[in-house]
Amino acid sequence: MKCSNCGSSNANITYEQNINGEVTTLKLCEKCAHKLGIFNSFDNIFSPMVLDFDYILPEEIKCKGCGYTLSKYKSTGLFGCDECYNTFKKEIDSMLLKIQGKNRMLKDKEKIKKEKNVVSDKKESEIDILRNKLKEHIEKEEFEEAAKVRDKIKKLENKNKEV
Amino acid sequence: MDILNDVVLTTRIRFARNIKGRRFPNNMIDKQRKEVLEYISNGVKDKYNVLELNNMDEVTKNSLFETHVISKELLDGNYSALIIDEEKNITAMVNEEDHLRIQAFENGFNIDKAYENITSFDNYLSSKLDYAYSESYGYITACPTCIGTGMRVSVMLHLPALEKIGALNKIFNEITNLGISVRGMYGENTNGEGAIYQISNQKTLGITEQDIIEQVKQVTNYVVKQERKARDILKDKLEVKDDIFRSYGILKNAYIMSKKEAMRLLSNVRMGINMDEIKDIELNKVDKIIKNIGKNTLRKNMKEHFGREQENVKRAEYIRENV
Repeated sequence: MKCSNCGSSNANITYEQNINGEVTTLKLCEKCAHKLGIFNSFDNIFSPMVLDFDYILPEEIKCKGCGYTLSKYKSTGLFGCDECYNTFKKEIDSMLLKIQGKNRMLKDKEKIKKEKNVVSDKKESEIDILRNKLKEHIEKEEFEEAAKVRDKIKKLENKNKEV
Repeated sequence: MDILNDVVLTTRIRFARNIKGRRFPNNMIDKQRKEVLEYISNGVKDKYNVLELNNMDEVTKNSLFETHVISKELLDGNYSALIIDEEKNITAMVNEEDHLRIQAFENGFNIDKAYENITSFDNYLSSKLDYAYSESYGYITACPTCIGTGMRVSVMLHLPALEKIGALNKIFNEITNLGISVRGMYGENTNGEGAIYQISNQKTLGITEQDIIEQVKQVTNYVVKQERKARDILKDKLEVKDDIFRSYGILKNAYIMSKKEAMRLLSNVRMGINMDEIKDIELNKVDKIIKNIGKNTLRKNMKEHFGREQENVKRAEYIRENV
C-alpha cells in the first residue's frame, strides 16, 4: 500500500487517531510520519528513556571491594565494606564534614603507638590537606582564611611544577 | 571517688571495630557472617568463649537485651555472638552493625575505669585481629557517624526532679548544642521511662578519645548539678512527699503491676531516697530492681516460665519481696 500522505512511498506505519469517538486510520510512510510529527522513527520511540538510563549507569561507581553504590548508602545509611571509604573518598569527605564537622581523624599519639595493625592507605600530600581546609573554610564562610589557604595551595602547586 | 549515683545510674563506653577486608554485616550473606564469626572466635579462643546467640534460649537472649547488654540488632541477626569478660564488665557483640561492638559498663559515674578496661580489652583484640583502620579516618565503621575513634561514651541519668519542674527540654536543648545527644532508656526513639535518660557524645571523628571523655564528663556534671538543684526546689513540697510515699506504699503492697507503672513508682522512690525522705531502703537495692523487672529477666531470675498474663503478677511479687 502506498502512503496516504505522499502517495509515492510504501506505507509501513498505521496511525490510528481517535477524536471524540471518530476513528481515522492513516497508512503512512516513515518519512511522512516524521514530517507530520507523529514520531521520529521506530528506532527513536524509546530513545529518551534509554538515553536517561545510559546516562545514570556510568555515573554509578561501584566499590571495588564489595560492589556497593552511593545510592545504596543513601537508602541504608551504611556502607558495604572498608574499601568503600577509598572508593567514595571524595563524597565521603564532604559528607563527613556535614555529619562530624571534620573529615580527618585527630591522632592520639599514645593510642597510635599501641595500635599494631595499621592499614596504610595513600598518604595525603600537603596539598590535599590544604584543599580540605579550603573547603572547610568556604563552607563556614570564612572567606579571608580561605583566601590565605588558596594562596598557599597556589604556591605549593607552582613549586611542584618547578621541580 | 564520687560516682554521683544519686543521679547517674550507669556509665558505658562503646568501641566500634571492623575486620580489614571484610564486608560489613549489613552487606554480608550468612556464609560471610559465619566466616567473620569464626575468624573472631579463633582469634580470641585462648582467653574467651564466644557465645553464639543461636545457641542461647529465648529468655536468656531477651533478658540480655532488657539489661542493655545486647542490642535489638544483635538479637535479630544470624551468626551473631557475644564475648563476655565478667570480671572487667566487658562485652563484645559480634556481627552487629559493625563486626565488633565492644562495651565496658560501670555502675554510677566512672568513665575512667570503663575506659581503662575497654582500652586493655581492645588492645588484646587488636593484637589478635586485623582491624580496618585508615590513616585518614581512623577506625572504619559501617556508619559514618561512628567513624574515627569509633567511641561512644554514654551515661544513664535519673532526672525525676527536672522532669517534674518541666526543665528537661531546656536542658536537653542546651547540651545538644554542646555536641551531646539525648535518648530514652532503650536507645534511639524511646521515651525516658522512669525519668531515665541516656546522654552520649555525637561526634567520633576529628576529636581524641580524651577530649570525648572530657566533654561527656563536663556535661554530666552540669546536668547532675541542675537535677540536684531541682530536687532542692521540690524538697519542701507536700505534694511531692505525698507522691514519694504513695509510690513506696504501692510497690510494697500491689499484686499486679505493669512495667510502666513500676518504673514510674520506682523513679519516685529513688528520688525519695536521694532527698532523704525514705531512709529504710538502700539506693542500690532500688537500682537492682529497676534493672531486673523486664519480663524476660524476671523469668530468668525466678527460674519460672510464665505467660504474658502472669507477667504483671510475677513482677508485683518480685517487687514486694525486694522493696
